[in-house]
Amino acid sequence: MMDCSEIRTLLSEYLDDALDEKAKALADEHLRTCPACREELDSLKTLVKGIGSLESVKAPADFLDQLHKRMERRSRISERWGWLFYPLRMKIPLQLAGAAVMAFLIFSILPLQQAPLRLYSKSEPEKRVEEKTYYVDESKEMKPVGRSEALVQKAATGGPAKDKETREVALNLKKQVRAKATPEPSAAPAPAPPAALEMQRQKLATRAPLQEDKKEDQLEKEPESVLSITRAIETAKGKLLSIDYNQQTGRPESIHAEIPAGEISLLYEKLKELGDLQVSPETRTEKDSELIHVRIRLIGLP
Amino acid sequence: MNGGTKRPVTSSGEDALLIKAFQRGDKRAFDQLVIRHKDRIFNLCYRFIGDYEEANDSAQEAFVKAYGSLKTFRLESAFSTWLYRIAVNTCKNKLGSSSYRAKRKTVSLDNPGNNEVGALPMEIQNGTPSPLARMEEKERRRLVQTALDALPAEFKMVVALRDIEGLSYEEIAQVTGLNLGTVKSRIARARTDLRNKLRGVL
Repeated sequence: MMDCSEIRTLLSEYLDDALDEKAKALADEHLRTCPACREELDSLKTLVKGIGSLESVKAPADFLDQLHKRMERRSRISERWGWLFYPLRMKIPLQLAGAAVMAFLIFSILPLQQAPLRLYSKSEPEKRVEEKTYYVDESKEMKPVGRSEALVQKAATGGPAKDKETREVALNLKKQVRAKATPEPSAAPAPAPPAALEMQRQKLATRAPLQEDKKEDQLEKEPESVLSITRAIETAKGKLLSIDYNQQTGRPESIHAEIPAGEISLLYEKLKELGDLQVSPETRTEKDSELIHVRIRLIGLP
Repeated sequence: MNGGTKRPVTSSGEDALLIKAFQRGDKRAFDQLVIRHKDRIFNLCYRFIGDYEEANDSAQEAFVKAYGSLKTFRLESAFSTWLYRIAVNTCKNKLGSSSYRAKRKTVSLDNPGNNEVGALPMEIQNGTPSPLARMEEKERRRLVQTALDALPAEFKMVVALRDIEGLSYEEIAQVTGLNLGTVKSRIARARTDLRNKLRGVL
């Protein structure tokens, strides 16, 4: 038998006929004998009826019009800002595609700007062969040689078998040297340049066999600065290996030479006469007889 | 199972046809759904929020949300239950928003009373015959509404869904996301509270 307080907690459900069989039977039994709980049930019934009799408040007559306006306004906003709310499964591929396009653009522009520098980044063995491909021999003629011949040639000249680093020096030419750098059109033909120079006038990149008919033109256009450096190299008993020209401006950018280790300081001295020389500190020490590769970068050329 | 006071007047079969039409691309089918459900949704919002304009805003917002999700609606549950759920959540968000609470604290000088003689016209569904009886009835309803308004939101909602909208306990559980036991106990508590407040009125 349930007491009144227990029954009263069930009256709401009793009213809605939501009690299970057992609970309903218990409640029925109690209500038959308890007038107070019957009264409680009646007042709840009245309340529920009272709540249910509240008038339904209708939506405004122009509810649909208002709704259309609201949705129109919303779609205008989402047209403008909707991409912010795209689901990630759409946004991520879009962003990846954007990133790919950016990466493509960056990598297609960078090599153009860095073209002259590309030479330095080549691996050492590759460089060695390249350096030897056009070599200068005693008969002052240049022969293109293959890779194997290059290695033979290298061995014959007593070049070191081990990997050799190329020393980088930067030369900021003095004004008077620079001024001579651009030859005047009316100037008399330049004095015969050192033999090695003749061989190296061609851009390294072109790799075309030297053509005799172009020799004279090249000779006249050879800037004074390059000639001075070439002379410095010769003084240091070195061998001019190549001259690199900027592909766009056609100006000499760097000069590559092979110098006996014992003479390297002499070369530096001679170069210092021509302008400001920046030499990165060298930790390696070579034997005097060893040949050192030096790349002289020309800076400050007009 | 319930001796419900009111049952939904809309048939779910017609809703289903309209929803399928909408999902096939007929946007006007949505207008039909709005026309069929707007008053019930509006009334629910009004009972829940107790302010005509705010109820209108919530009801509109509920339909906007429904429009956005109807493409993916599967006809496993009744559209009206689904729509109620959206409306309930929209109203809850409104009641919880700081801007609404700030607004409730201020009293309009044009309409200082708590009754709904607002600027917007309200349409009452039916009237009672004699003027005196109508006045008494009107006063009684006002008191019931005032007592209902004074309930905490979570109690007001379940009572409105049960005793005004006539939803079953199970439907209320679906709409509110509460479990069945909580729905039952909240309805019982809310009714007891209202009955105590309205003794002598009803």
